[in-house]
Amino acid sequence: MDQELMQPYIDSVNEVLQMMVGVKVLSHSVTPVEKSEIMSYGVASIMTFSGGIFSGRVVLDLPPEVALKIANLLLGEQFSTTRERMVLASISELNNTIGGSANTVINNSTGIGLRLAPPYVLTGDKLVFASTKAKSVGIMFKTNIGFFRMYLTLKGVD
Amino acid sequence: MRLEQCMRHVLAAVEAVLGQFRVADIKRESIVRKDELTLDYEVTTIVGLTGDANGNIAYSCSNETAKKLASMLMNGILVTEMNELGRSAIAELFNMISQNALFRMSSENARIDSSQPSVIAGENVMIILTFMSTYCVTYWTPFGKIEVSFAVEL
Repeated sequence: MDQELMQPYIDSVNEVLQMMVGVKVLSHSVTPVEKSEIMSYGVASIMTFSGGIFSGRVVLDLPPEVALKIANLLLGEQFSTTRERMVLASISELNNTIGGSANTVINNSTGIGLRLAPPYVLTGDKLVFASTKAKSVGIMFKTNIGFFRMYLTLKGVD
Repeated sequence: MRLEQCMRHVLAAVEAVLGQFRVADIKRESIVRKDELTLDYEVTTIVGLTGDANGNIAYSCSNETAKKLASMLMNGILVTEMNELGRSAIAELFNMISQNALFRMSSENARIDSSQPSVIAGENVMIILTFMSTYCVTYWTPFGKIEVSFAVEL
């Protein structure tokens, strides 16, 4: 995936985490995803986007303990399970803000005109996300509250 | 185009595409409106919509039903477990249905783009599809129950 399309997401994760919950990204690493299926850590928000010949998705995939820490920081309450509606709503809102901000930058710089569908959020055991074959990248973020991964897929771009 | 019309195009697409695979004896319950939608099925396929309609369509079923639908799509080859191939078949089926629905909507001059479908499978799955009101329809097919949820703003 083109750096011009990926970098706005990396920047957005850094900015939004700092702004919304005061979490600092310590490092990130990018790896291509060869398989069309992703095994989730346990909590994920998925947001798809499309525009013209392009379509794609951004997946925020978090271990349950990191999702809980983010919800606790965002809402100032102590949650004990990821099956709480407000925990999932927090992760959904985080993804919405990250994706919205990144896509605005991409649209302004490239004129692609990507539009976001509302995010959905899920939790469960042995979770798998499958999609039609398209090139994805996985970006592992290490933060001061733990790690999580973002998966970016953009169909229509080599 | 009104939301109800949009939903009816989706339902017509479900019935048309299943019909193309010679699935007969499909029973449809009436449309139910829910203020917020949480899904707890083992297999859910979600297609995002943007443009004149913005939101998601979700197709949910049990693992057993998903295996039978995948088998139908693969010309009757027995699918004994929902593996990568089975999930790919399910994605393809619900993508066909969604594209069929979008084609019907385009006849009313609606300009809607769809994203690639995502199949979500697992145990103890809890999906919050939307925090806005959603239209849901349950289908009873020879393969089992399929729930279609339509969380879209026009």
